[in-house]
Amino acid sequence: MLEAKFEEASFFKRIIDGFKDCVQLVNFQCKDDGIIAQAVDDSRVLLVSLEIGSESFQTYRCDHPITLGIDLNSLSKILRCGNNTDTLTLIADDTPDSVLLLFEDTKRERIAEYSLKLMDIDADFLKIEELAYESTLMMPSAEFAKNVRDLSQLSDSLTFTITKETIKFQADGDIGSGSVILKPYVNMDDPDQSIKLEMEQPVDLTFGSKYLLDIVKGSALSNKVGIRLSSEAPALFQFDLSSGFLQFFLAPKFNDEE
Amino acid sequence: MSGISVVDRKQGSDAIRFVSFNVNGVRTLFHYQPFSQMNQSLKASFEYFDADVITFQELKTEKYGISKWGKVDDFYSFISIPSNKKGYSGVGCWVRKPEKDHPLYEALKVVKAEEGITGYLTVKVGGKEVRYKDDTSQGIGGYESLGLDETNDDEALTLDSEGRCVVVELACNIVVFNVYCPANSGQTDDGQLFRLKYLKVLYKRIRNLKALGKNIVLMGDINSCRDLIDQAEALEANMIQITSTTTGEDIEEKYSQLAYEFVMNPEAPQRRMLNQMLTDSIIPGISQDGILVDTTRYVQTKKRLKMYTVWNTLKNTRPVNYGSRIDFILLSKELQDYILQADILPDVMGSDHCPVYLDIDSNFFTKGNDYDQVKVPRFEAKFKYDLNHKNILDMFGSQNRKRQLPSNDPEDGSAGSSSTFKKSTSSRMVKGSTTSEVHDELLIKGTNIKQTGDCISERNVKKVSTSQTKLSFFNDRLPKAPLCKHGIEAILKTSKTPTNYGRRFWSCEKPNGDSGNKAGSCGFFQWVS
Repeated sequence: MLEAKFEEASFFKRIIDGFKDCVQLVNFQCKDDGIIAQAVDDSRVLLVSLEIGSESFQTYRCDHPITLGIDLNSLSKILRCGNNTDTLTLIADDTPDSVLLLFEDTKRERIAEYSLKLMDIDADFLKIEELAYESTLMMPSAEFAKNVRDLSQLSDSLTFTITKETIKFQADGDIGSGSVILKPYVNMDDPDQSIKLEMEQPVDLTFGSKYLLDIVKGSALSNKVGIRLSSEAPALFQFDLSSGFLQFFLAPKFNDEE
Repeated sequence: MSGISVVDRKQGSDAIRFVSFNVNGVRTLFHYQPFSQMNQSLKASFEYFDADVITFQELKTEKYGISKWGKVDDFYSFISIPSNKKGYSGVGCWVRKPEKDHPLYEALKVVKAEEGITGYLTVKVGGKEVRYKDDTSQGIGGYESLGLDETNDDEALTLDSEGRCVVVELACNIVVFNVYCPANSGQTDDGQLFRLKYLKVLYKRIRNLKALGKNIVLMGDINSCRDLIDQAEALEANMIQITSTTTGEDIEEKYSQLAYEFVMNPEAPQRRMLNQMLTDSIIPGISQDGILVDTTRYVQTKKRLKMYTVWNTLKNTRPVNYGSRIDFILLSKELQDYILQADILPDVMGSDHCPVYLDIDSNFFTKGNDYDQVKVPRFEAKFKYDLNHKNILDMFGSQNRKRQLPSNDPEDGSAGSSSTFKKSTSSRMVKGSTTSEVHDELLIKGTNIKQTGDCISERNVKKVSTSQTKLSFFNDRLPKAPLCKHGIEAILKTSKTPTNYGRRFWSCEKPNGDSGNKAGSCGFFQWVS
């Protein structure tokens, strides 16, 4: 039996909206300590990994590990039906064919109940080990999203260059080119606005704009985004939740022409 | 009938297999057996066909979807989609990349690849868009006198705007045209003009390349029949009966005038144009300049009748094999002696068409040239659609890939289909009235009686029976269904003809086939009074 209650339905909606545009069919694995999910996009370039710890819920109970195979398009249709301030409870039995979504307006005692049919999704689950990264960057998620959205208007690919003291985002396109250069910065009043950089080795990587545009949709989840880059490993973009995270692992483009 | 058909492997590792399949939506292909077990992997489907060069027509995909179909392990991908109409047409050609020590390594090396038939489309080379016809490093050649308006590019660009052709040149001196020729299904004058112009330019381009010393493979959905014996409807219209011993020669001898008129029909010049490309047209006068062999007919000979590659889905004529043959693999006559096998694969489901294949012996080609310097054409999907990303799963290391999903229902061992609704949905469908089961039984018995050559797959029987289930609900409100000449309850249909629009009638539940076929409709008809 799974019974997982979010204090606000909008929280779960923001999580789903954060990655529903890049993957469609996702297995949500519910365990005693929370819900995890993982999915790779059709082109096998982007891997999404989600962890919602049990502390992110108002109440959480899962007696027996279960997998909920969900079509995110269908799920977000149902999530749109709830009001943002409603509580949302996910309910499923131990061998579920469907999952129940219960929206409750506690002030008005309004209850809305939806049932979503589950899918059998054949997907591999990757064990993600801690990878070694050459550079780690922490910056305000809104600023990162703006940089990506601005520059991706110019080109299908964006280059991230990290040197000792600078972070450079660059786009070279048919209509012209553009770049944004950032330096580490400490904001004492509002630490979330700071930019932190730890660099062991300079990095120069190119990513598809299309994927970066998908990733910045996670900005609604957290004020900060952690970016970890390495020339050999997939880049990691992480949005932290109060307990848990939404991670995007992105494969870079080939540098050579062949 | 088991339902899942097995495709014969090719004979010998130096045989090259060409496969053409109008998939009618590459996404929906994977809803059908055996493709539904392949987790949407094109590679798995290519291996199923044992294909080396494979073309799919009517991909019905768009730019966004190409990231999925343009990256196939161990194959090069060349895909053309319409420039403005979304989810329509679209042709792909995939060429195997054999290991370096494989006998086909050199022969299958892709030297050049091109989108469209005119050479007017562009490809990005070194950051600049260039036309294939202007860039000898990318264009295959043979662009002279295609009969295009030289003063205005629009005509050529319009012809190539619908994602209908991918041309690939292989190191073994074969230029492969993968086409989805226009059909003019709307039967408009403009549509017919477009279709004829398209064929004219295509055939001229092929002749040009032939004159340059290239061998040609033209494969795909030509959307035209070549002979009377390739179209069930025409045979039926002329009341030509086929028995199990009839051969194509018999028909063409006995009805030589009809066969002649079929090809030369001024209403359908595409048939004459196709015949003019062939070496073995029944009309000797026009085949003297023929350069291509219809490999399927060459191997199967005219002894084989009812060799169809497309059937009308609306009329459900596939179970009774009442169709036509418009999918071809045509080969330069110079390579005729290297043909090993050629056939259609009518048991492979997934589309309204069936696949066609050709195996040739690659020993016409002498190896030994150095092709390592040949660069991957810029039209390869990786460049064309900006798919040159690394594979995220490979980056994590594939040994890492484990299945760790806790299974919800241990008794269900049939995991494998990629994404289907859990069983509850299907079980609810079955919960019909008990009468439907009686219908089922009746139907299966009925269809089993006469199955000479025309097998009806179990799936089709089921399909019919579900519609029957729904009908039983309406039957309470309607007079009881009359029995047709088979002795089976007739089904209710609604007239769409202008004179009786909306009027309902009873008709035999069997699909329309040729009149001699007992498994087909008995022609029963009765208005609902």
